[in-house]
This record gives sequence, C-alpha cells and structure tokens, in this order.
Amino acid sequence: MAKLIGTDPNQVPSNADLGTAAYSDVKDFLSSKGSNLNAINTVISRTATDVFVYDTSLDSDGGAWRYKTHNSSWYNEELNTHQRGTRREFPAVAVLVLEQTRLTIYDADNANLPMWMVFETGSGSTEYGFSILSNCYLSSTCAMNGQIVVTDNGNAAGTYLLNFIPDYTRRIGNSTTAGTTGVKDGGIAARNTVTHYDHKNEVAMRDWYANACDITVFPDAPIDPETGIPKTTVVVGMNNGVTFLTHDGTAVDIDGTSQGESITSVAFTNDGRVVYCHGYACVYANIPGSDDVAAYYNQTSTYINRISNTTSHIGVGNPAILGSLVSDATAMKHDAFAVSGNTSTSGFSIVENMISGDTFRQAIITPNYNTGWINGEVATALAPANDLHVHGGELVVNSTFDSNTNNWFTVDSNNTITWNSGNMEVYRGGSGTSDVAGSLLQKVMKAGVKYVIRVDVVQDGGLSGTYNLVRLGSGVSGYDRDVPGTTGTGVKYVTYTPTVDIQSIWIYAYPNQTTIVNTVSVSIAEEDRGKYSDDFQVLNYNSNSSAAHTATLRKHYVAKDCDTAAYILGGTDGDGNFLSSYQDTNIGTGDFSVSFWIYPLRQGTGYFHAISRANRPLGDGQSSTTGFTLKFDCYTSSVGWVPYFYSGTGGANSTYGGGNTICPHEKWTHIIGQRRAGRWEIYANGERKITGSTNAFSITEDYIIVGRGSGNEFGGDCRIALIRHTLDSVTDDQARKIYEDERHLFVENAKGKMYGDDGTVHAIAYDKVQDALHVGNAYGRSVFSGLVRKAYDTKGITTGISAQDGLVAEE
Amino acid sequence: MAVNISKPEINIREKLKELDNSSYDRLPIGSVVQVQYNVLPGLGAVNESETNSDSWQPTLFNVSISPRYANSMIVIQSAPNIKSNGSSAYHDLAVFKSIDGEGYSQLLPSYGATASPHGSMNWRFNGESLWYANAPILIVDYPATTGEVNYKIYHRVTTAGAYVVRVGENSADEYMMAMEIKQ
Repeated sequence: MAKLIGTDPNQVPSNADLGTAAYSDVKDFLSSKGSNLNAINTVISRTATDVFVYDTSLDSDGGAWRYKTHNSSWYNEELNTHQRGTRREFPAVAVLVLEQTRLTIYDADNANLPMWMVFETGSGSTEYGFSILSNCYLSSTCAMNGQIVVTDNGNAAGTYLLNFIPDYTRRIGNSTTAGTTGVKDGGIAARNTVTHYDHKNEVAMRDWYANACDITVFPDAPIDPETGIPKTTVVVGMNNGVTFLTHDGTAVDIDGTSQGESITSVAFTNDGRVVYCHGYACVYANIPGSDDVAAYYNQTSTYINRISNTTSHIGVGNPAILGSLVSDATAMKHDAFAVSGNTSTSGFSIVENMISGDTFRQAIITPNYNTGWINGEVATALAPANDLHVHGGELVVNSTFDSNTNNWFTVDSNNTITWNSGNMEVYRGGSGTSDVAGSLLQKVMKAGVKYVIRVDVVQDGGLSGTYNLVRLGSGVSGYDRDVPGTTGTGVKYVTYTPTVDIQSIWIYAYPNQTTIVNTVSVSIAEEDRGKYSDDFQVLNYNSNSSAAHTATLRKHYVAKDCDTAAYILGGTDGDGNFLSSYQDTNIGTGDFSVSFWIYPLRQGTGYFHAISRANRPLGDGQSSTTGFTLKFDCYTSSVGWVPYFYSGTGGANSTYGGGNTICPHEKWTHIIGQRRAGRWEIYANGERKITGSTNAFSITEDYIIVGRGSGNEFGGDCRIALIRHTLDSVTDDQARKIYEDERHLFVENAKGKMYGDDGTVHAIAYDKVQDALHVGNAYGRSVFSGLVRKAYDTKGITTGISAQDGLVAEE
Repeated sequence: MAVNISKPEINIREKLKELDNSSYDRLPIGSVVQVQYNVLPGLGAVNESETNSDSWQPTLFNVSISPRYANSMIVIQSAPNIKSNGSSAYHDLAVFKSIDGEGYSQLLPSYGATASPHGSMNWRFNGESLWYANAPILIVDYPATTGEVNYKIYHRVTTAGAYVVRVGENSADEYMMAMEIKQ
C-alpha cells in the first residue's frame, strides 16, 4: 500500500513536513506564498488545421449558460473515456484544436489542458459522427454563446453547428433537403455514433466547400428561445461565395459569380460589418439583408472598399499590400482589421476607417519597415529599412546634355549622335548596328541591387511605342539587355534590378530613325513603400546637374535601441543630398497631405525644404505656380523651426509666424501639412497650429522631392522619418490619432517591425481583451499593441493563432 | 507539428482588482454613456427664431456633447414649439452639427439631401393663415470624433418670402438633448 504521509503530490504532509508553516495563520500562509497563478505552457502533439480560444466570459451572458446544462446528454455522458474528459461542465475557457478529421476541445481552466471532449469523423459510412463522408477536411472553427461552428471543405461536406445549450448538432449543405443534413439524432452525446440526420434544414449554404468562419452577436439580435440568450450570426466563406446564417433564421449570400477565387478568410468587424478575402483582395462590406450577387465582388451592393494586391489589382481609392494574394482577415477594435500578403516582403497591414466617402488609414508592417499611418490614397511613403547609409548619386556621366553629348559614343559610323538645344539626338543609319548610342556608367550597376532609371524621351526613334528604348550592357561595346517600361515618349521612370553587373547604358533607335532624349539618369533606388512603388533617386545638389556624382545619404535610428530609422538631410550634416521621385499622380485642385516626423538638429542659417512638388528633381517647388514646398524657417528662432507652405501661386499659403515655433531643436515633432477643401493647414503633434488661406490652385508638378525645393536653400539640418504624401486630407481627430499612435515608435527601445527575416505571414489573431495583435511567421510570433511591437516569441508559426486574454494557442 | 498553448503567470490580486473596477469600457453595447441636456427657457422671446427664407437658417435650439468614444452613436432629441403664419409652403426643420467650432453641416438623411429635401421633418396645414404646433425631432448621428460636437436645429420655409415661420415659443421651457450610446 502506498505511503499516505509525505511530500509527494498525492500524499498528505505531516506537521513535521510543513515546518513552521504548520503553525501559521491561514491568511499569512497564503500571502507568504505569493498571489501568483501558474503560467500555462503546454504542447499538444496534433497537426492542426485551425485553433480557437473560446472564452465563454465573452458570451452574451458572460458564460452563465455553462451552469444551466445539467440535463443535456453531453453533461451526463460517461466521463474518462477516449472521447470525454473528467469534467462535466463546459470549461470557462476552452481551446478548440481542429484537425483534418477531428475536433478536440481542451479544458484551459486546468493548466495541464486535459482533453474535455472529442468529435470524431466517420469513415465513409452514412450518417456517422461528425462528418458523414470520406475525404472530409475540417478547415476552420469558431465559437460563441455555446455554439461551435466547424467548416469542412472536403468533398461536399458542408458546415457544422454544434449547439451545446439546446444539445444538438446540425449539418448544413447547399440544399435544404440534401441527404444527411439537418439535425442529428441523439444529442451531442451521440456525436460519434451512427444516428440519423433528419434531412431538414430551413436554410442552405451557397456552396458545400466551406473554408472559413466567424461568429458574432449583433446588438439587435433577438433572444433565442432554445438558449435564453441572444442568437448568433455566423458567416462562412466557401469556394463560391459567402453565406450569412442570420439571427432571423435565414441564410443570405454574397457572391461574385464570375470571380473564380475561393473565399479563404472571413471576419465580422466590430462596427457591424464583415471582411472577406477572395484571393487578390479582401473586401470590406455591409451585412446583406438579402442575397447580393453580381459578376464581381466589387460590384455587389454591400461592397464598401477593399484592400487589394499590388501585382494585378491596384486601384485608386483602395489600400494595397505587396504580393499577389491577400488573406488572414482579422477584426480588431472598432472598424479596424488586419490582413496579410503572401510574399516574404509583404508583411501585414492594418486598415481603419474604410467607410465609403471617408479617408481610410493604412499601416504596413514588415520585418524591414513600419510605414506608420498612411491616410487615404497614397502617393508615396518613405520608411527606410535600417540605418545603413545609401550610397546613391548619379551614375550617368552626362545626364542632362546641358551643352554637349560628351561621354556618349556610337560604335558604328553609320550611326550619329548630335547635341541640339539641351537634347541628345541619336540617329541610326539604315545599315547601322542597333548599338546606336552608349555611355559608360561612372560606377557599375551591381547585380541584385535595385536602381531607378529615368529617361525623358522627346522622340522615340520609330519604335512605335513597342520597343524599349533604354538598353544596358554588361560590357562596354554594346548592350545585351533592354529595360522594360521604356517605350514611347515622355518621362520613363522605372526600377530595374540587374542580374549581372552593368557597365554601360544605351539608347536605341529603329533603322533610319532618330531618337531624341532630354535626360538619361540612373541612380540607386530608395524604396517607396506605397502601393505604386515609385522608388526614389538619391541625388546631391552640390554637383553640376549634368555631371555624375556620388550622394551618400546617411540615416540614424530615431531613438536609442529602437528600429525606426530616419534620413539625415540638410546642407551640412545632410551634405546637400535629397530624394526625388517621379509621380504620375496629379493633385489638381483637390485635397492632399504630407506627413513626417522631423528632428531639427540645431538653429540653421536659412531654410529647410522638407517636401516639394516640382517639375524635375532639380526643379523649384516654391516658385512653381503649379507646385509647392513645405519648408521650415530654421534661422529666426533660437529654440526651433517654423513650418509653412510656399508656392508660386499665392506666396505663403499659411500664416507665417516667426514666433510660432512649432518644432523644437533636438526633439521629434510630428508634422502634417495639407490642403483641405482649399484651405492650407499645418498640424504639429496632432494639433492644428496653422490655419492658412484658402487657395485651391491646380497642382500638377510631377516630381516629389524630399530635402530640397529651391535653389540653394539648404539652411538647416535635420533628421526626418516616416515621410508620407497622399491625395487626401485628415480631420482634426484623424491628425490626433495618427500622432498618438506613432509617437510610441519614437521612444527608447521602441520596436515597430515584425520579428524575424521573413515577411510571409502565416496567421494573425487579435486578443480583444488585451487589445493585442498576434502576427505569426516562420520565425515566431510578434505581438503588437497599436503600431508598436511589444513582445515576440520564437516558436515558428505555420497554420494558425488564436488568443484571448493572454491565452495563446498557436501552431 | 504541434499546437502550443501558453498563458503568462497571473497575479491574483491584480486580476481581482482589474475585475472589480467598473469603467465605461466595460459597458455593454447599447449602454447610455452620457446625456447632455440644454434647456431653452421661455422667458420672453429668448428661445424664438423666425425666418421667411428658403435657405437653412440656424435657430437657438442646440446642445453640445463630447463623445467619450469616437465610434459612439449620438441620439439627438428635441420637441420645439413651432409657428407658421401661412400654409402655402412647408416649414422644414433639420439638424446640423459643428465639430470643435468648425462650420455647421447638415445631418443628411440616409438617402442624401436630394432624396429628402425637407430635412428631418416638415409641417404644413393647408388653408390656415396662422397655426401653432410642436415638432418632435429624433435623429441619430455617428460623428466619429471625441471632440466637442454641437447639434443645432435649422429651419426654412420652402418658398422664399411666402410667410414667416418660427421655432421656439415664449413662455415655454423647451429643451434639446443628446445621448451617447456605446457601440
């Protein structure tokens, strides 16, 4: 017989074993032991298709239904079996682990997470257990108000509703009378035995093959007489369309009948709407009152907006995320939701405020950068990957042909190169070689490095807009590849990543034709994080505009041990470097905004031009009648810089207050400058500080320039970070929100990026209790609060994450 | 592969304290977060506004509220006394709002101003040259702000110069109320 007295877990300690604790007051004894409950750290050896943390305290009755099920079949079934654990009542917190052919419910009230209940599947027999057919593939699960939903995208399998309060399971297919659907006999206790389905459903799904689900209770939900608590609404994403099982007892669908992609992800947002992903986009939509079917999802009447991919479906007015597929729709608080792309550079995106007619906000977060909030239709977003300097500058020795075509040559006497009024004219003789005009680059374009190639084509030499005009050579005597996107006339602004080192650049013409170019420029690309990816050139003002030069753009982390980097710009610390990008996005007479964080290094001697819209990289924004500059007076005040807009139309478009020092030296200040309904405004740290004049003149200049805008006005030095330019404006509230969220990135130790080196996101989950977003990749799980990563875990994620009140289930 | 379940250690005292406190964040959806109420006393003609214009004119009926949550619903109610010196046109009433002192804009009906030209409500008694009535206003707004929102009743007569219409009544204490409902 085992010894009863001792200190083992199943023994009773004697007073001698307890020592002084044997004589302690109970309260003192407990308090001396501390007041901490053990952490949970359990591994379940299963290959899950989905996981879900079901916290019944979030049910409509706070989980009180768990104590009112004493007469149900499952409550009274035999315990301690292969399909039932040791506890009768439903756990307060349960972890649902879904496998291809099994659902297991684990009791998370117990730190050891014992099995509480198992739902098995059949093996081809009719009307057996969880699924009645072979080839079932249980795909997703969710739960609320005592109802667990399980979807199955195996062969004609359908959707299951496991109703614990009224004690029955229901299977729904795409027909109300389909065989082996309806309610299964015998209650939940008969879940794994052969009993009949009643073949009666009042509703049908749009499709058998179900991939994703979510569940909610709307504020106007009626009380379910079966349960005594409000009825749920369930949404299921299928191979064809989305079905809502509403609290009215109906099923309503959204479908894009010409849309071939499956719905891979669905989520109810916390503003009473829904997000669903159909391959190349995730749609944000209203809940339909009746079937809403059109050829494409963005033609349905419930459609509000969508976040699309960048490879095929970029659209004006839609946010976008890098990659070809958009998925993992995850609702956050209010109307916010998160989605992921599908490539190693995609990361994930948080989107808010997508209501039609309003200005949405998007933040894009990857392992390399965090853009901060981009409000509305993006023109550009600059967020450097790290603080490594950019070794930029102009690689073409004679770039702008100011007075000659020096450094350009032809290898065939039948071809000629002529200078004419600032242009290079390149003629190819009838029998001339195709290597018409070439120039050796002052520095080699390195293989694997991204460059911007900018060519202003006056005449395209008989190429009919069909053949690429710019060619590159790995050698010095001819080209061996052409640059896509350099057809036709006008400004050609493309990025190019060579696969071999490139030594020369060539301009092409058809036989007996003349190509005329005004500018040929090559420089290293500084990436634009906006959806159009109009990457920036890094150039330097201090060199002659037509000469090749180097430009080392230096960067600096914004605070000690944080991971957000800033550019160093200005005439001294910044060496006169600037960034320039060609944007084919005219502001016109409409709204626009520019937003950035600025850290003035000291009192300057003149002005600093933060952002300009000008007609060329070395153009003048502030004198242009169709451009502008947001500039700073760096010299008047001894304590900080003063921002204001300036343009050739209307002079200073805001109150120029010399004493109105807004940006103190050696401190970060968030600046938004915008034109809203014609009125020019400037915000600092979320507050509108300058309300200027109204002047809705047309802004048509094509170049965005950061760090210069007129002549040699490099009279101040600063660090500048999270630079964004959009074609929308913000409200006072939105400006406050942007500042309040982003300022946490500018403190010591702040981290804003995903953990790990791979931006391919495998799962996202939102803990609504702790307001924490969990994002999983192969390296682990990052936990975000707002825009800041507050923690990370190094267990790689492959399939799914679910989190509630700090309890995390992940695979 | 394996499923990992984790939860950090919990401090019971801290948890009990967290659960024990009440805050607006714990209010269920549909709860009334706050009520703001403005009385327009009937002392003389203090609460009266008259017009014969066919463009929207402000009245004295207004109430301010600063929502606690940016996504709250605001329910605006009022029941002003009205008067019309004629019957050949409609007396329209509508609710406008201003956020943080900015200009006023109309709370548009769900189908837009074009489909609902009479604003929130309208009155007309055919064949009467003078009549007094009461105009109950009930409208819902989602101002999407935590700044101060001022709701104000505007009115107009649909035919310019037809006759004078009035909102408000001397010797009657009138009110306008705004309620913030948690979403």
